[in-house]
This record gives sequence, structure tokens and C-alpha cells, in this order.
Amino acid sequence: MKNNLEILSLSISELKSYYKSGDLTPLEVSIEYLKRIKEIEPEIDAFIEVFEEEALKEAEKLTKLKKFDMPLYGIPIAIKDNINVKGHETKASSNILKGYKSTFDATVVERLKDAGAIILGKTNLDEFAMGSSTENSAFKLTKNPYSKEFVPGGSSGGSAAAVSAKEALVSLGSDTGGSVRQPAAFCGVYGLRPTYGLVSRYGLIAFASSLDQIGPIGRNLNDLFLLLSTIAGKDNLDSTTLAIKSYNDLPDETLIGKFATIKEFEDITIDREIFERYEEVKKLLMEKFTITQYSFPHYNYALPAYHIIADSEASSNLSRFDGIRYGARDNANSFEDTINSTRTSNFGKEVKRRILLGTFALSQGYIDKFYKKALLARNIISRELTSILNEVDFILAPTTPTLPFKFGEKKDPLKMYYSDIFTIPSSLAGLPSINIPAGLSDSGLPVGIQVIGSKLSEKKLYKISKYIKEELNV
Amino acid sequence: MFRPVIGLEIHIQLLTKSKMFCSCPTNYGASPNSNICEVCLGYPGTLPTINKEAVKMGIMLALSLNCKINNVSSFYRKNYFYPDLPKGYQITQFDLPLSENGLLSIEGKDIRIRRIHLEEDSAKLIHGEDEILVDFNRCGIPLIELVTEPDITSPEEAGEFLEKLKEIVDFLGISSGKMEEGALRCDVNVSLKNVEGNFGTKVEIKNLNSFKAVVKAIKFEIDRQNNLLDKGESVLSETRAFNEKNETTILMRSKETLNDYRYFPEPDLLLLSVKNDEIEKIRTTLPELPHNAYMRLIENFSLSNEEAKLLTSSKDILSFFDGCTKLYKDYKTIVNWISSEILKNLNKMNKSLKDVPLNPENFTKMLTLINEGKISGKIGKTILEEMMLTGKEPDDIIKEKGLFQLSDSDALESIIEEIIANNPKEVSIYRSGKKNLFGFFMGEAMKKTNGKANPQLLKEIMLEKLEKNG
Amino acid sequence: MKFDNELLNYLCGLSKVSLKESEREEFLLSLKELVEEFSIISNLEDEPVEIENSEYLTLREDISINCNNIDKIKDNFPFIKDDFLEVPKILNEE
Repeated sequence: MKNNLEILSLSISELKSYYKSGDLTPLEVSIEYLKRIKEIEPEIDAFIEVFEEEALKEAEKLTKLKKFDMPLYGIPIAIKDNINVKGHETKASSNILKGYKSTFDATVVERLKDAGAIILGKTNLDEFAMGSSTENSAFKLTKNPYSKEFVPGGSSGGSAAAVSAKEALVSLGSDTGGSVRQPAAFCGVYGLRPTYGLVSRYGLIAFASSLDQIGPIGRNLNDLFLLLSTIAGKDNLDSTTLAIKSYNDLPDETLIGKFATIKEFEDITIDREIFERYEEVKKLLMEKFTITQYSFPHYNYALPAYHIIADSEASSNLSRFDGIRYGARDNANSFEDTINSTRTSNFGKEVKRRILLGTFALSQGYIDKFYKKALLARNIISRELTSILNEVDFILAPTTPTLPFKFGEKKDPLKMYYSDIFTIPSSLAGLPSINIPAGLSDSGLPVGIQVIGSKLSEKKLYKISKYIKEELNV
Repeated sequence: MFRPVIGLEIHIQLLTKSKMFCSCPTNYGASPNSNICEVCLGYPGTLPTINKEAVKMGIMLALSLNCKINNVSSFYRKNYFYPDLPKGYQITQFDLPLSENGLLSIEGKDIRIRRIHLEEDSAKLIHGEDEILVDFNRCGIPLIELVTEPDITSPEEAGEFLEKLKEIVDFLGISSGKMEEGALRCDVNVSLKNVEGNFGTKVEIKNLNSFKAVVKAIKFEIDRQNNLLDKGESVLSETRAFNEKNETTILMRSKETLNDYRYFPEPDLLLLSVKNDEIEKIRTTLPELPHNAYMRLIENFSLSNEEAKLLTSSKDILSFFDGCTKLYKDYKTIVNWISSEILKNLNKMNKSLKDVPLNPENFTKMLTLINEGKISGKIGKTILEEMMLTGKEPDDIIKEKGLFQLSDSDALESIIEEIIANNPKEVSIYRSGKKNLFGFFMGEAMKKTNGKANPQLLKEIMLEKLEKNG
Repeated sequence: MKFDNELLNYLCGLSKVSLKESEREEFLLSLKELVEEFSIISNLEDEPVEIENSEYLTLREDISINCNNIDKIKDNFPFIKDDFLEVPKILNEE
């Protein structure tokens, strides 16, 4: 009935209405998506594994079921490969998890399945979500759909590229210091980092427990927030989830009419085109909103605090990967040699670097000066951002300091870490933030803009994102 | 010259239905790796959740030991690699434990408790020649860690402390406290203080499997340290293992390099907060503690100290005794039976009182039958054994085995006259003055009645008949 | 503070991650640089840090649940012997 590119361009609500009317079935739509994946994957390499057989079986089942009121009935979704999906390998793009077959579904996956979604497969990431370009994957390099020499961003590069290249309608990524927002910006799609504790982490392979959040990626705002509403809400298996039963229970606040910009952010030299787009959005917003510049005094402690806390938690979270109970094992003569050999030969460089750094920050003699001080910095940063948000609706900021960069361009770890300079602060404070795609650069690469809200202000974020997209036509 | 300074570090396994941080069952004796799940096996993406009952049990013990309970306490990760530790870290408490600063009274003094906190147990390892076999059933079971101040000054005090602690956890119903089953584990720190009051080097002793071993190990260690110091040598900071066979302590490892556990707050758990009214609620549900029961027994029943001690040595025995006294007035008899026959049988059967079908109702029924003369005390012992095995009612056992006591004076008279008639020689020897032949006649009568003759009555009538001439 | 080879060896030992001779220099340099960059954090003055509470009443009830995936979990064991997980022996037995 409809040609394949048109089907691939339909939103969730459009698909659902065509399902209801009988014009399309989940099976037909899944077949189109799987065709698209076959066609374009050789160029993009977004997927680690495609669930072709299973997706078709599920689509068939749903087509027969005809339960049109399921929130994500027949919606094709891709899932970052650090989220457990039962019966399949979950490798977090690491050699150390080769052979590890998930025996359970992550809570978000259970909720997706209950909502009628069709899982097309698992997407590529930086190993253990450590990176900002997906170059740290042990298995493959995912390309930016806009230009193949450029990175898709990271660590959820596969999830962002898949949605951008129409290999999935929506996807799930995970955001620790910007890993959903930054690749969303680089791939020209929407990506949301929810309030910390809104979405369950049970089943997400932990990188930094107090910073990780699973976030939705999509091509339009309604899709994005519908996906969020399906997965959000308290989970008894995750003690860090908030006492919010579901997305519907979030406060529905009215806008005050004020935006904040951060002086220290605006003082940073960023790519010209990102700066120009950012200024443009500011000007457009000024028609209806008051925009005030605020100071964020401890801003330069954010990157150090983030890396110290994240790497410290990661150094502990990754101790369970030793080849003893699951995954790859380098069997040696002794227990010590076995775990040492397994970890040494199966962890990539960046992972090793962060484990060593985290071990350092927690070790005797250094823990007071590093880890404990980082916790302190985080508290101060939270306080400063929250106090700004007490006076305004949102903070406006760029998402990234640069346009997408080329493969191999950022070899120096510190330079790579700098990609997250605008996304880290809201991560540290547990605040929800969204990347809104804001057009293309002259060179045809996506530019993104970031809006940060106060805790549990996702409904407000939806409103303002809609306004920025539709009214301002950004 | 040197005064022993002893501190204990004790781990107590809790009798919760599920594990500390996941919902796996905790039943003892399950087949290997059958009480496991992704959480306690440290699977990628899994998270811990705190067991409310374990927290309650921790609070119960803390209240029983007069500790200050922290309204807010936190969990920490202790990081190290070992085959029994799936996550590569143990979730425990470090700064801000559940409770601190309590005490436990032993004979004549109070031993201060430094802290009581919650943590998870590790897996069980079976060491083979070239490999280790791991059973994760135990991994994640809730543990209470209790650390004393070094107030203990003799091996006997340590033994007493452990006995008292075991009674308390048993009474609270939070643990069996049995070292032999691994439900209670104890490490000891021993050092010697000199006359000026300067503390000596601490030595840690591990691998203690019974209260007796603890006492023996401390004894040996005090002597060993004394000898070293007498010779002018110094005591080294070491960890030593107790050798059961020789009753000595041997070097395990030296303590020069301390492990860097990189303790930091568990980011997957929030701070644990317990309000004062919740603590008070738990306090009101506390059962009677051993010491209070002891005082009550001494007051209400004129029992000796040993008897009261015996009756309060375990929760089952105390509740059995209390139940019996409600149904049967002669508590002295009850105590005697408990301390002799019942305990003897339990030892033979290798069981606890709660595991046998003996209860105050059927037991006191049996006592009543003896009191009414329907059976002899000797028969009663036999019936008791059967009751403890099968749980049958005493009346049924008596009927089945035809054990009713013969208290019919006429029947006894005729039996006695028969015996006298059949044994004229013995009768004349007895009557000529050999009174110790009385036993022979009693024996014959017992044989004739299959042991059922009422001994008191039999003796009376026998004496009467024998003393009568002709 | 000296971030040197000795410290690096210590950290490798603690985290059970070794470095090849060829990459050691590179790691040492990058870690040194990162630590220096991040050490600004030690300048902050101490103040109490707030964390959120988990209330006693909302803790998990003590009900045991049998896992349905035990067989699959055992399938993931690299080496299994009579239902036990098999692991190489410890060298430096403590």
C-alpha cells in the first residue's frame, strides 16, 4: 500500500492509527524495517545483533492479537547492547561478555514487551558505555548516517544512528555524562536524559550507578515522550528509583516564562555553527521568554568530579567481570591468574584506563583528596544548578562544543572527555535534559541544542521542546 | 606481669526467609547452586534490595544489647577479589553502622559492644587438589557483624560471652547461634598489656569452629605471647589459624600489608533510615530475654541457680517448662525430668526439643499418670522415650503395651503369698536376720508382674507379709 | 604526589588488570595527565554531603522467591562439576 520509505517515516501515532484502520499491520512494518536494516547496515553498522527471526515472529503474533490499545503496539525499537534482553547475548560491546547470554529482561525491556513493542535488535556502543564516539566498541565502528567519515557520537552511537538512518523508529540508549544527548545531537535526532531515578536501571549493565539513566531516542517529540512514559516509573528491583508510579504522576507545571543561560558555558569557545545556532534559538525565544544569564561558579569542577565519581563506581562495578561465572574466561593455573588474564586480554584500553583511574581515586591515601572531594563538588554543583532552576523554567545550552568529528580525530582522552562539557553538569545534578535537533551545518552535519529542566519536569520539557520545534521552526 | 586484652569479631547468620539483598530462599541443606539468582550471582545489570526482616533482626539484637541505634545508617562496598565473592565486592556497613555502643553482661562484668552492623555472606568454597568448587547458596545470606571492645581478659570470659550471646540470638529467634553449623563465626584478637598499661601488638586468630576452640585458642595464644615477651622478643602483628589437633595457633599471614578495600558508599542503595517510633514498635515485640527469664524463674519458683540456668539455656526448653508449669503444679518434678530424662534422650537422638513431638500437654499427662499411681516412674521413662520418638499420647502407649501399674492390693497380696509359699528357704533366711534378701523377693514380684507392680505398695505389702511370722 | 610506575603497578594489582610493556608508558602518561587535570578537586573546602534516605517501611518484604532461570544461569558457568561452579585454585592462600 505505502512504499517502504513512507512507512519508515511514519510516527508512532501514525502507525497506530494505520494499524487500527487495518491499512498496515505490525508484520508489514517490521518487514520494511528489517529490509531497511539489511540494505543500509553495511554502511552504518549500528547493530551488534539483529533479531530478524524473533522480530518477525513477534510481529506476526501482534498482528493476530490486534490489541490496538497497547501503548507501543507494533512499534519497532532498537535497544543499546548494555541493556539485558532475555535469551540473547548482551555484550556491552566488550570481548569480556562474549558468550554471556542474558537470562532475564531488563525492567524497561519487560515494560516495552508488555506495551507491544517489537525489538529489532541490539545496537553498538562504546565498550561499557565509556566514550563519546562509539569508537571504543570492541566489535565495530558505527558511522554517522549524515556522513560516513564522521562518528555518530557515543556512547549510544548505535542507537542514535539506527533511528537517524531509519533502521528503527525509536531506540533506547543510556546516558551517564551525555551518552544519549551527544549522539542524538551528532545524528540529528531527539534524545532525552530523564531525571535520575525516573527510569529503572535494573538490567542496565552498570557503568556509574549514581549517574546512569536509560533514555529514549526518536525522530519526533511525541514518539520520544511516549516511549519515556512506557518505561518510566518506580521499580522495586531498583532501590534508586523514585516513588513515582508512572509518567502520568509527574507534575504538570505551568511555565513561568523564564530561561537561564550559563555565563561560564557561553565563555567557552565552541564551533562557529553551533554558536550561531545557539544564538539564533536564544533570539527566537526572547520573543516570549525572559532570558537571563546566570553564573555557575563551580562549573570547572564538573568534569573532574564526573570522571572521578564515574570511574570510581565503574572500577567497582566492573569487578564482577572476571570470567568466573559467565562470559569469556582465559583459564589459567590459578584463580588470580585466571581473572587477571581474562580482564587484561578482554578489556579495551579506555575501559582499563577508567578502571585504573577509579581504583586510584578510591585507594588509601588518595580517597580523601579525590573521591570524597568529588562527592563534595557534586553536591555544590547540584546546589548551584538547582538554585538557578528555582528561578527559571529551563537552562538553555549547546549540547556539544563541536560538530561531529571524524574517526580517529580525538585521540587524546582529555580532548575526548571535553565533548561532554555541556552535558556532564546536568548528569551530576540528576536533572532531566533533552537534545533538540536544530538543523544542519553548512557541511551538512547535525547541530543540536540542549534544554535542561529541574527534577521531574519532563512534562514541561515536552511543552518547551514542542514550542521550540514548532513555533520557532528550528 | 602481662594482662590479656581480648576482643571478639563475631558473624551471626540470620534466619530470614530470603537473602539480604535478593529474594532467594535461605533454607539450609539445599542442593548445590539451587538457591541462586542473577542478583546474588553478580550478573551484569542486577541491583541489590534491602531485606526488611534482616534490618528488624539487627535492631532486635541491638536493643537486646543496649546499643544506640542510628536512625540513619549506610551501606558500603568492600572491594576485593576472591572466588566466594561474585561481585568483586561485599556490601557491608562501614561509617554509620546500624548500631553502636552497647554491652553484654557476663559474670561480674560488662563487655562493651563497639558496633553491630548488617552485611551479606559469601559463597561456600570446597577446596580440591587443583580446583575449587563453589556453591552460591550461602552467598548473600544476611549476616550481623558484632565487634566487642577489647574488654575480655580471660579465655573463660570469652567462652561465657559467646554462650550468653548464643542464648540471646536463640531467644530472639534471629539465629541458631550454632558455631558447628556455621551460623555463628568468631575471630579473636589477642594482645598483652604490660603493667604500665601499654597495649601490646594485636594478633588475630581465625579458623575457630566451636566455643571450646575459642577458649583453647586464646589460652594457647596468651601463653605464646607471654613466652615471647619473657624472652625479650616482640609479638608480631599476624593472623594465625587455630589448629584443632594440637590446640595451637599457627601463622597464616603477617599483617604488614593491610588490604586496600577502597570502601565507598554503595551507590545502588540509599541511606537506611529507621524512625524512633518504628524502633519502639520493634522493642515492644521483643521476646523475654534469657537474663530476665532467669530472674523470673528464681523469683517465682524456688529453683537453684543451676536449674534456672539450664531452663534458660534455650528458648525451647524455657517455653516447654513454662508450658508445663501451667498444667502441672509440681515444678520440681518437671525440672528433674527435663534435666535428666528429657535432655538425655535429646542427646541420644541428636535433636533439639523443638524438633521432637514432645509438648507440655502430653508430657504433663504422663506425669499425672505417675502421680495417680497408674504407672511407675520407671515405666514413665519408657513412655517418655516413645513419646519423644512418635508423639503418641501416653494413654495410647500404655494401652498398646499394657503398661498399667498394678496397684490392686488384693492382687498384689496373692502374688506375694504365692512367692512366699514357693520360696520357703529364702523366707526363713530372711526371717533369721538376712534383711538384704528383701531385694530378691521384690525382684521375684516384679518378674511375676512384668514390672508393673506399684513399687511403693508392693514394698509395703511385702514387708508386712515377710515380717509376719507364719 | 607522584603518579609513577610503582603506583601504577599497585593499581594494576588491586584491580587485577595488567598492562603490556608496550602500552605501559602510554598509560602512565595519560593517567598522570588526567590525575593532574582532576586534582583541582582537592582544593574544595569540606562541608557535609547530603544523600537521600530509604525509609524502613518501604524496604523489601522478607518473602522468598525461587528464580526460574537457575538452569540458564548454570549454562553460563564456564566450568561446572556436579552442580558446583569449578574455579582454579588460589595460589597465595590466605
